[in-house]
Amino acid sequence: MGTLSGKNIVKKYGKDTVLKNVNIDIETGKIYGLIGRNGAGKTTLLSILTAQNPATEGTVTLDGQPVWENEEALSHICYSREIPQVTMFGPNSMKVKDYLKTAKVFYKYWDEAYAKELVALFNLNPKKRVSKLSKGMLSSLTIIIALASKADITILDEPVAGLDVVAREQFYKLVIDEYAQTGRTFIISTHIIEEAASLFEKVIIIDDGQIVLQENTEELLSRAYRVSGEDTLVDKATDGFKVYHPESIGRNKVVTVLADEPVADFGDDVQVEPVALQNLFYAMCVDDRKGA
Amino acid sequence: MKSLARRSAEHYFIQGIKIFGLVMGLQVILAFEFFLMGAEMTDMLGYIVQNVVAFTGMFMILFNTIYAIYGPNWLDSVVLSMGARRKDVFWGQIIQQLTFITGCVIVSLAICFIFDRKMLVGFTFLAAAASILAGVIGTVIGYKIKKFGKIVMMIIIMIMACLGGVVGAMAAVGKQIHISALNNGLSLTVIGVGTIIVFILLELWAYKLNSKCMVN
Amino acid sequence: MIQNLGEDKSIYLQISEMIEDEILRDILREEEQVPSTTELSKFYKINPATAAKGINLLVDKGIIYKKRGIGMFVCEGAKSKIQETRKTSFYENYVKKIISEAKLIGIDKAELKKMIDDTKEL
Repeated sequence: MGTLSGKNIVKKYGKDTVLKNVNIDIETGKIYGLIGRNGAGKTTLLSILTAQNPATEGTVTLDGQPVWENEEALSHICYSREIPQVTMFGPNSMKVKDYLKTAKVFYKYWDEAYAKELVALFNLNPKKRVSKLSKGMLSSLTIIIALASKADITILDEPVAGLDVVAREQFYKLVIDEYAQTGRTFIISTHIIEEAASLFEKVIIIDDGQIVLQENTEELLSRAYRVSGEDTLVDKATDGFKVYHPESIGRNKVVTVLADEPVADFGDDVQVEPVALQNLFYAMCVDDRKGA
Repeated sequence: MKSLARRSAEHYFIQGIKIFGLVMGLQVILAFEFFLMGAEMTDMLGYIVQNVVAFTGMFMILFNTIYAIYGPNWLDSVVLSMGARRKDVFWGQIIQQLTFITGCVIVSLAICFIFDRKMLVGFTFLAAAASILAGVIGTVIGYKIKKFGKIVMMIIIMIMACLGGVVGAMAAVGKQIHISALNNGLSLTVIGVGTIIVFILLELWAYKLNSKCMVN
Repeated sequence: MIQNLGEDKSIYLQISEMIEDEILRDILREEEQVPSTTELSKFYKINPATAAKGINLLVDKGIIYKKRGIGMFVCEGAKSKIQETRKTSFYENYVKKIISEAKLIGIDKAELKKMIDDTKEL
């Protein structure tokens, strides 16, 4: 299985440009993390990559073949997103089992036995209507469909929203298990970054409709530093590097640095610490003018 | 695994059967009610049959429209999000509607012939034609609701319903003349052909709307 | 293997060092089986590829080896190998820090020496 590629993707809703010339390559056999602020364009990008939404401009290909309306390509992709509990015409009266039955029909590689196992594991009542499910059960259903689809490229959009910490840990274990067994590609978009950071072989950060970076997580973090100390000394030590989110308290200054290559030494005048993924993301995507 | 097109077609076929089952269930209940209501009538059987067929016709139109509007807004999105192509959804809607209508027509015709009430045959075909049209109109409305929101469409539908009411009132005056003309069979062909043409035009429009549609 | 992973070092390095620590403490003895990458990844909730990287590092260093179809095992002489390697980096990783902290808080060489001389551990 080759690469899922998006080239020069632009998406406009009327005058609003939600995605601005996005280029993205998803190599198979890896677990990806997709992180970005609300409104950054994560869901739009994922919908376009999976042909659920037409792009205004640009192409999406899997293995060189366009994905749009392509039966072969679509059979290898699963995009499981949050199921609405209210539709245009009232509460969503579909039952859990109807969803699962529909999934069975349309996902070519659906694993019914695995689905049943997961339903039992999550304690989901198949006869319940979607509108009556709790937030946690709703997330569980999305996860079950994603995992049981056995699709080569499985995308989960905020799968742990609404899950308590115990359920979240269970989810991570399931993904690791499944990945260890099958080597399926997973793309997980999440706001709860630090918990999942060690799961991601590669991380994609999207901000304001553009891809800020798409890299190997460990490699990325090996070039990220939190440099602190006396303000003039910090400025001197970090001169020439890309500096994010400078903060000061008294004469003490802290900055986050993302270098092009690992830095051996910033000098003895400053303190250097590694940066966790969540903090790096924060530093890069926080709008310092607004502080939010 | 069967091809996507085949699985899709089967899925929508079963949905059509389900709606058919729903309407038949309603009919059984209604038939019982007519049975009770017509207990003292001279032609009780005729009364029941007439009403059952009439209601089947109405339900055909009503339910077909409802599900047609519902499709683009909800059920189709589910299927699309699971890897179906838009053309599967497009043909699927048609299959679902035709399955449903065919089922109802067969049952109605069976009732007509079993109880020897052949004058209702014309009505049944008319209702079938109307529901086919209503189905495709519903599909188009469904897409437009998706785009413009419920309120706008509801207003438009209200206006159209009022107009329909006015036309209906006018037609009631000339009702006797219309129905006998229809049962002559001549107009049946004209109506059939006319329906098919309008139907095709509307389906083309629906296809265009479908081909660019988004999952919610 | 009860430690939590920290942010200070690459995860795969932490994995390999953890296994080395267990070998040093005799929790894992020579010719004993080492947890598989799948077990490690599930236990620490990390990407299996990362766990594999840590394991492969140990294989490259000659600390563990693979028995086809069964799993990973501790090599003979692994413990002494690890001790040797760590001895060479001991100054960099530990002593330098003690000296710099001592400098910061005003402990002189004599005091430091006395602390070490007085210890009963070594």
